[in-house]
Amino acid sequence: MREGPRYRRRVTTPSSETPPWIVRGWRRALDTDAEPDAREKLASLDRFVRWHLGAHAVASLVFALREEVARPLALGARGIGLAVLVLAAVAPRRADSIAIPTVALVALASALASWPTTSNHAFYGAFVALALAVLRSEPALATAYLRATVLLVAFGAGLQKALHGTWWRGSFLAWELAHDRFVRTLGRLLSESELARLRSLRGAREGFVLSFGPLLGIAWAVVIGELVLPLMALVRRTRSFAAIGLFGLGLGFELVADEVLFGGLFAAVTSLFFGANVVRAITRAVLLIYVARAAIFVATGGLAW
Amino acid sequence: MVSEDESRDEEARDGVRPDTDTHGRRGQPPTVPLGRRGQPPTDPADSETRTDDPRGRRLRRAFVVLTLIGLALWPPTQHVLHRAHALGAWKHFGLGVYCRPKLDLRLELVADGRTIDLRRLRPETHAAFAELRARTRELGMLTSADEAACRLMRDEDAQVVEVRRTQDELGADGRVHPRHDVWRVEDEVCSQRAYAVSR
Repeated sequence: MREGPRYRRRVTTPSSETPPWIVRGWRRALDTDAEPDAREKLASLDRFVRWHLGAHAVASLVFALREEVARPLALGARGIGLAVLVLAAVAPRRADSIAIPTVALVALASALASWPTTSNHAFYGAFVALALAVLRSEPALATAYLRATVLLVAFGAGLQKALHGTWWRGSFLAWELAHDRFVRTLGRLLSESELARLRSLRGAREGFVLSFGPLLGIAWAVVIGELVLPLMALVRRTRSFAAIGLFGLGLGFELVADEVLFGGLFAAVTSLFFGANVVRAITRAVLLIYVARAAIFVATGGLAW
Repeated sequence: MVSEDESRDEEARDGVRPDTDTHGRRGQPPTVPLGRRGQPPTDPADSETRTDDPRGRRLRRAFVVLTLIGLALWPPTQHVLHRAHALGAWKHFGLGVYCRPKLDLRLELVADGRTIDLRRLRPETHAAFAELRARTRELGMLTSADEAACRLMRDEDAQVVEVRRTQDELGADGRVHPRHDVWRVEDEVCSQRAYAVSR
């Protein structure tokens, strides 16, 4: 009897053992094994975070000095924090075991000390520094964790915009444009008559909605993008697109709202979706932008930055 | 050589096939430079990637899970607090920046039924209300007005002080909606706070 070719049977797992696609997506996003260059990425991010927190401390100190009633104790504490951060930033690698936890402690203390006026990016900076300190011994887990925080930050921002509802009819943007904020960038997307209508609303208590047009489309795109892109990043096939989209959103906010420190931190942590060379390039580019902005600040005598 | 069944069991346990390399290619032994979960790293001399302390690993996993859950749940929680108590949307790491413009907070002071002009307050009392205004903008109507009210009560020799706070908010409909809150303080409260106020 002639025996036919033996085909290898396809190995399948019972359906009860196969997790649904969304769970598989999460596992990949937090997969601690598929990260051969995690330590390099974290080394670049760690260096960046030290300089970033130093830059933030400088900005806080300058703003505190400009306050009418500057409190000597608070100023002294900020000065000490800044000195520690600069020391940590220039410390050699062999001092990492002391420098990394110290940076996390200073960042946390500084964020808590300025509560309830602590900015979101100060909290996020402290959060990233803490993660780098706690998860230092597991670089792959740390990288996956920080990527997950980027997704939660973007999704949380989108969720807040959707829940507050002030972006669906553009009322937030209409109010800001009416009061001459964001006009230099977003104002170009409005007709002269529409901008004049919004400006005429100053002092009014109603009518702050955008007419149908490109700006309203952008408002919708921002909210939907912040909600959808993090979900797309959970799926391997769409992850690169989502990561680039998140970069785009960050860049857009940077151009419109000029949130340099938040934009820089967000870009640096988002770069963890890519290879170590990209992380290195982006963190260095962001630090160069900080230096350029500081130079503008000094050159203009504190009038611009 | 790992059998199909063993391989499947390991995949079900770890979520990664044992004969899959870091790029997802099958048929090769894994070449993971950082070591597999729960095992020492490839280079045992490398203390930075040592993951063989089970208690430390458990603590790190707990840190990861708890902080991610917190980060996921805090923005909607903050939104609920904003709706209920006018908690500021921009701060507190609730990621609500650029959701609402920052509008005026108005204070109206009433001592024993008389409206008090804010501009005529003593400097310390004025500073206390300025501080109250700043804190209320961030923490909403949850902010206690006791201290400022007690200072006013002492200045005006009043029995009852009401601090009426009105926070304007831009709604989704493009209208400005006021939110009112009345913080009433009676003499008893201030006598308990006498030390704090007299400082």
